[in-house]
Amino acid sequence: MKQKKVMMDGNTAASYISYAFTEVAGIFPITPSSVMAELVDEWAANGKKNIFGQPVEVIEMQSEGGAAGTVHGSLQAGALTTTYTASQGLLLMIPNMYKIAGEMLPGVFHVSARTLSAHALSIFGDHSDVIGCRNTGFAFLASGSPQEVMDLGAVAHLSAIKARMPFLHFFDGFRTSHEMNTIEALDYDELAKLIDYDQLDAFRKNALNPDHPVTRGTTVNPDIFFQSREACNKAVNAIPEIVEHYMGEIKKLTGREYNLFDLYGAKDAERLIIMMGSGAETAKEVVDYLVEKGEKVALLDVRLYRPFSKKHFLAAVPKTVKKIATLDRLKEPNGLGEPLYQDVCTVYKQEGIDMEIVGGRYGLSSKDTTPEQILAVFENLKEATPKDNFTIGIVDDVYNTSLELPAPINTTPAGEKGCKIWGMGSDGTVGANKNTVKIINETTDLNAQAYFVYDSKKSGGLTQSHLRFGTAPIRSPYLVNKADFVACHTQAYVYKYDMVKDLKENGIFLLNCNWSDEELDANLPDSMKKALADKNARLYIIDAVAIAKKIGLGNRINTILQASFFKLTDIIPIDDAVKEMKEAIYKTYFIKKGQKIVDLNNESIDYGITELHEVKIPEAWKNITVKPVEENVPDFIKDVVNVMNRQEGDNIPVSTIMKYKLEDGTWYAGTTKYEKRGAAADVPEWNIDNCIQCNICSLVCPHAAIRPVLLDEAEKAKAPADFTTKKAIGPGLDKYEYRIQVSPYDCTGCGVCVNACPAKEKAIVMEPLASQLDQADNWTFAVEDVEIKKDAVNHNTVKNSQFAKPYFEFSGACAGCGETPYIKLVTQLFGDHMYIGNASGCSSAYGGSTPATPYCDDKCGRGPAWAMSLFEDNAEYVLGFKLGYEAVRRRSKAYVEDLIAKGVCKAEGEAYLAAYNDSAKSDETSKALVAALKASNDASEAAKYIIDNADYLARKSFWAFGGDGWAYDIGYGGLDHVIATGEDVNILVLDTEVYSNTGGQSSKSTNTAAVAKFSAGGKETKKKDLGYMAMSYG
Amino acid sequence: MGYDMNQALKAIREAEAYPGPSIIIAYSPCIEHGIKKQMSKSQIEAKEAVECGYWHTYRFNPSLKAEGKNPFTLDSKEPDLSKLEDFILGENRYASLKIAFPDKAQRLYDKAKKDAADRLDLYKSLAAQK
Repeated sequence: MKQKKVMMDGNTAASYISYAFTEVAGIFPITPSSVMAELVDEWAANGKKNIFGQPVEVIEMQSEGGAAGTVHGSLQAGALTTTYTASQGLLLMIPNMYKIAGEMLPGVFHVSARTLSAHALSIFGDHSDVIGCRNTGFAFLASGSPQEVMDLGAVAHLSAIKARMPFLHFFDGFRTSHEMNTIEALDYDELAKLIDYDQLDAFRKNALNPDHPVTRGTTVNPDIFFQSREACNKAVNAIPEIVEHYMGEIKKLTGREYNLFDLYGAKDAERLIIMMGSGAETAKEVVDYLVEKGEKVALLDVRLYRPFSKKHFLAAVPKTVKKIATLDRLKEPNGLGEPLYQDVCTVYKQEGIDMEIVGGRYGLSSKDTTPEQILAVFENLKEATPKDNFTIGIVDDVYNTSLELPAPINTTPAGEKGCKIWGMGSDGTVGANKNTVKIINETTDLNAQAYFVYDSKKSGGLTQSHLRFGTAPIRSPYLVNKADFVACHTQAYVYKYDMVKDLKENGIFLLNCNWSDEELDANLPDSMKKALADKNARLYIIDAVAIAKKIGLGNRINTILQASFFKLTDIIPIDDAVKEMKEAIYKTYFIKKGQKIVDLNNESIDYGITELHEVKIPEAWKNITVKPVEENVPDFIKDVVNVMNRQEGDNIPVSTIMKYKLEDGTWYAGTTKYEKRGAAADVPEWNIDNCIQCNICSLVCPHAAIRPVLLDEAEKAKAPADFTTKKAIGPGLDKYEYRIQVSPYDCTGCGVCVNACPAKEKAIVMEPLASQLDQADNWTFAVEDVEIKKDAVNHNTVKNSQFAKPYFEFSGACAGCGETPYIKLVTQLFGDHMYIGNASGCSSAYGGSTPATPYCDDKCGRGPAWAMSLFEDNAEYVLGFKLGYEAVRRRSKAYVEDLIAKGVCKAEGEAYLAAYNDSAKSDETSKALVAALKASNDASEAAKYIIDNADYLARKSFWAFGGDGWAYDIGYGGLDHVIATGEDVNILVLDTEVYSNTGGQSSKSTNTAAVAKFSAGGKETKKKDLGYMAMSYG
Repeated sequence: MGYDMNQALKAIREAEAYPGPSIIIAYSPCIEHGIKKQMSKSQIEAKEAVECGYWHTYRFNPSLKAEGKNPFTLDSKEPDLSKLEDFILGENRYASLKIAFPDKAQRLYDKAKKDAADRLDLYKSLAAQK
């Protein structure tokens, strides 16, 4: 039967299908899975019904551990129960997964598979999380595309009920969870007919119930534990056939065929790749490409990973296969091979078949897996001795695991178009592109795919939209790298990124800029001009910024450029596109914003078509010699940070990682100052006459981009001519000259400083960025050549606290962020002697997302030592810092006492002990003691220990930073315990009353009546009073 | 910070100086709040949050007990609770409830006001202890 065609991403497909079969959902947010639970919550709040005629009962818990406990309990009580998670969240569920499987309960977990934190956190996708719980006893089903999520998601639920065993259904985080594609939705009424109601009834009858009581979860001794574990084999062994049965039922409904192991390619294949997840879709393209050339290759796509059915595996693999490469999307650092490799080896060992099998790793942390990489694997299998334990997608020039990439190949089906669009966060580009694929999906028979890439910046960051359109269903789960159309929506990007690289020969390049043809010639970088000419590109320009301003749309350039997109790509007739766009505009804006905004947007569509201008590429561009750009920065910035900021980090080889000793997760302090993002439209300009020297602008600036400067006479003499100053006012300051200095490239243009300025006539006003760029040199002078005036710093007053150096600058936090001013102030007070442990969340995302580190050091090389462990354990982690540091320090203290007894450096030793816990003096007395010991030439072990561990002498300040999701919810148990220990640890809770970093889910800090995700119907309960609870220990 | 930056500075310094565990709960306006006057006024939003009794600034220092003093100090001035509903309706996280669920919005807004009044009473009673 014909099913409904819709645009859906993998997460939405999982929500849709799971909603049908779910009675209770126990949830907790974690990227990239949160959307699944959010949709279920929203639908439930609006009364949507499942197959059983009821809305899903949704309960948000304090952690994934809590969610799993509730899921377990709900299953024991006889309700079909589901959860959604990924990565660290899945790890927290493992204890209950053993229980749920052990008690043979039909729960279903949908997992958007994501990397586990190791040397660093990554929100992106690989299989390290799901594979890490393969021995819990759950059945594992893998999907490789949004359509498969829909189909196999149904198989997971139906099979769980029939088998009365739990299923984990997984798909690749971001690549599948966030890829929008044209798919068919299954019909709930049809699905309802497939449920095994006898088994459902048996499940209910077996549930815990006082009307027929039993005891479960007992403690068992050596006598019968083992036998009971063997007794479950029957249920486990039945799973493969049950899954196979439901795959057949889905085929009857949809025509789409699935098998436990799907063979794709030559039936007489000699070379075989075995893998699972979205990478298999890429492999299918390469198999098609090679089979057409007559090569005997195939792919085995693993659907049911656990239980691993040897019978079905052997039946699926052609007898002609001579060599196998397995591809695992994770790294097991100290095994004989990754798990899928070991499974396959075991099959052949058990069958006594001598098969050549090599194993490789791919795609960690969403590393893009391209057809060329897969081709390299097939080529490797051609070798007499194929490389084993190999990698694809990276350059490993140290251990030489990586396979060399072949020349680019074209696996794109005829009639498929690829488009790549570069935009800036919050400019509306991504929203417009989503609308574009929706229009194409709804008005044509074409299939569409859309995938969006964001950087780690909270605002003004880079967005890349990857769109594909075609007559056949679109696979290609990798970034568009052979585009028919590339658009650059932000003029400044021409200096930052190589955007022509992904353009096909004769492709179209659209640049949004305010240049004429002549100015374009003068301003475009040589490398870009030559690349456009060499590719014989068709170059179009439009000044969308000016159009938007002119017609009164402010900075909303998205609709204009969307119209240009339709005009240039010719995917659908332009008149149809305009009609659809106008309809969408009416729907989006009429109710919320009124007819005027609708009219303005409609007008902008017309301009997006008529104002397009084709630039004839001059012949001369072909003959340009491109000179390498000189970079006057430290080697680490040049070799690593700048490469990553150009979006070319994929090219950084293993040797560079090792050269800078990054393999243990180390990153170097203060890299944000090299970014010079220039992301603001307007930045503050200081008015010297109006300024009352209160320094409030500096205090409230979320990005430390506006600072007071005090100059002595010598500095004033060296200052640039336009570095105007006025006489400093305030006690003891009259010997200095005063200035407020803005860094135009580091400012995000939020305007908080302007609104906070208490001067009668504002002493700062926002002016266009371009008019303020000459302040950049003044900024450099102010921070490089002017000393911090220590005598002016005074922690007792707001004004004087601001003369201290902020050890936290230019973070990627949102413009106007309410959290970062606190952090910055804390670093101004304690920054040169503080430890910071940061819970996962916004403050870790802007606090340490490579390559950007806003925590910086001073000219003495001192500054905050910052690290993140996990989300749930931050208070404990910082307590560990304190205990570890003090353990080393305590030994120094004992040695100091020994030395005093011996009369060595007695005065310095006693001074040190007297100031042992005095943060104001401890640093000085420590330094004096070390200097005296060095001068004394005392050869004792005590003196040597103290000198060797000089960094462990002074009192340090220990801080735990995190948001309310951590402090009120997932980390509360630990936070409470740390407070109860009485140890001197400082906790800073940046309370936004919502899980901000994962997209705004409700926490226990959320107030009554607030609408948040997971509280779609408004929060019913009171905000937790964390302060009151903490006071109970006082 | 937006309400009383001197109090923020004082609270941070006092917390750090306390020779035991300390916790600072820092009200942080966020884009997720949907502040209608925009994030450029995030500090002003925080100020208004305290003025209407949505939030309070206080310090609790157990060291003061040894001196025979009340460890709890309510720093923020008597709020005007009648402004609370206007304040929360200035943020889309609250205002959107009225649009999506008009039936129950007023009940929850009333509960929010009641919760705020209860919280204020609690802090006042703590501050009144000798």
